[in-house]
Amino acid sequence: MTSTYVPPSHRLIQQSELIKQGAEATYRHPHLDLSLTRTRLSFEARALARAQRAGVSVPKVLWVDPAQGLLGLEKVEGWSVREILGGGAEGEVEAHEGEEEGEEEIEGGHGAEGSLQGGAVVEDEAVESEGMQKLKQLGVNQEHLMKSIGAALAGLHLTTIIHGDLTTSNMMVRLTPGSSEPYEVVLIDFGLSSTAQYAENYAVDLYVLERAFASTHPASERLYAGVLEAYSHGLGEKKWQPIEQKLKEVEDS
Amino acid sequence: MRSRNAKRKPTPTPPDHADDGWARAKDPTPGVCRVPRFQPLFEALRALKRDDERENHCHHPPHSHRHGDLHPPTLPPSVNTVHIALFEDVSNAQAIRKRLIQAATTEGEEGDRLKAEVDFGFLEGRMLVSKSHLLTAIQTTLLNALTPAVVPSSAGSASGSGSSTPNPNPTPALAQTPPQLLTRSHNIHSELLLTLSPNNNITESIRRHGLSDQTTSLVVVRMGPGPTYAEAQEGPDGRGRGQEQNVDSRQSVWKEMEEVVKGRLVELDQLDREDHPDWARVDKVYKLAEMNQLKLPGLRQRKIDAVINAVAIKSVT
Ligand SMILES: Nc1ncnc2c1ncn2[C@@H]1O[C@H](COP(=O)(O)OP(=O)(O)OP(=O)(O)O)[C@@H](O)[C@H]1O
Ligand SMILES: [Mg+2]
Repeated sequence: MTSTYVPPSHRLIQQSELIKQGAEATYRHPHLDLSLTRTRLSFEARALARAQRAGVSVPKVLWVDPAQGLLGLEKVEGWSVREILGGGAEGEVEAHEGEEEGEEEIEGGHGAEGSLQGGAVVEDEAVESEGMQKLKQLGVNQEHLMKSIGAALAGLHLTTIIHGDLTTSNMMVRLTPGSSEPYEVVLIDFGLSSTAQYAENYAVDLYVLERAFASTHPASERLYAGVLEAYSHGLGEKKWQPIEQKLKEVEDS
Repeated sequence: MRSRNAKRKPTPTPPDHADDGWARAKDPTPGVCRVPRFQPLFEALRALKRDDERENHCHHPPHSHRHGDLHPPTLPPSVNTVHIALFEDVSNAQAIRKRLIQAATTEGEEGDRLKAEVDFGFLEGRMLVSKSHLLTAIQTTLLNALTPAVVPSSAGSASGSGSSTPNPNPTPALAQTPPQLLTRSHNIHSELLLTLSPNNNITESIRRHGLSDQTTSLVVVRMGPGPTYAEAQEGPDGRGRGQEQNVDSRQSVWKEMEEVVKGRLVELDQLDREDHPDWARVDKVYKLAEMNQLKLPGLRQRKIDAVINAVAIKSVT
């Protein structure tokens, strides 16, 4: 997918917005990709609206252009959890260094920006990310953040929505000055979301996240354990048990 | 398998006010003040995209977009200007309704004249939860109305003659169709009522979101033609004819509105007042009862967002 930022001054609605388009579009037959992209973006739009109604923090949907396969979303001002934890801003969890560099080139035309981001990647664990620094100033540590993530995921799963692509890039942290909590975790990228039917569906969502943590962040076990603890707490014993069971099965297999 | 590329942070483009109609519309231009507090959205909509880009854009299928090349939807000159006014203490709602009915039922030239006089969207102000609710509805309406129906390859095209001959050269309908108004209700202003409504029942949308005899808070919307991007750029300071036409159209549309509505013109921002909406009715129409039960902090804002989401995703629900 591609996202483009549109400054608010250019819009009818004074709101920073992000335009999302399915990446698939480039590779498929026009007819096919059109309907696929449309379906996926429509699906994402509906999932976002549903999650929002249920009290989950997600970006607002500003507009849907099904014909072009574009989605206009509220831009969440903040950092991805990946950035905060020092995993860098670029690339997906599974991507290797080499691939990422290649992709930078493909994107082309964004030279300045590309190098800017490249420089921003925090390789050295000792160097704290901007987001983490901000959080620390507000008295928030990593453990607290992991708890919030767990609570956010529990909130999502309680609506029976499965995210489908839980990575630390798909969770953002937004500061919320003036409210009771200093920040909130905003879940993004609902392009692969679905509705759960079985405990297993939830467990798979969590398993994906565990893998994401493991391949992106040092000391991931401790972090992920913190997420899971808050998650189980948020879900309640009764709902958590069958999921815990399934998680064990997935991990043992 | 989905692609793993294109993970890019949104481009932090520096705000560029040079061709920004919105900023300009807010300039305290002498003369414009003759119509106080009359919110023009001149160009703000049109600035969604420039005319010159638009031409290319509409004749290309969406897959021709590359990274960093995404455009928000665009509007043709026939509906690229929106005028909005909010009236409070409206005293002639019943009379306006009569005029609407009369216009709709009168045929011929006389009918056309009457229709033109009341060619506005009349919205029940208390059913709007915020200014962005209204703006989102307008944007969604224009977007949907302009969206050419894309004909699926298998289903054959709109002609409906039952022809089963497969198109030897299938191209998405989108690629050939220039933007035009395609409305279900045959009128962009009643389409606005339909956009506000969570279902697709036109009569119900009028009853819920339109003007009633009891209406005292009334939003009046005119979506109509305006200058092209090029025109707006003319003149020594790049604000030439566009700016003049802006003023002109504001004054003439205002005159037409004044002719119809007896009420007190107020700032559109009044829609954001906490006590402005009729929440009981809003809750019912937008089915917000469940949210009331959630006991979450910031409930009001959440409900506003839920309503806006509902309007924004209207085309895919
Ligand atoms: N609403 C938003 N506000 C701020 N940043 C966003 C928003 N949506 C996306 N982003 C940024 O853009 C990146 C890519 O967006 P997103 O995750 O939605 O798409 P994607 O991962 O490419 O899609 P997919 O996973 O379906 O291929 C995110 O990781 C995030 O950094
Ligand atoms: Mg993502």
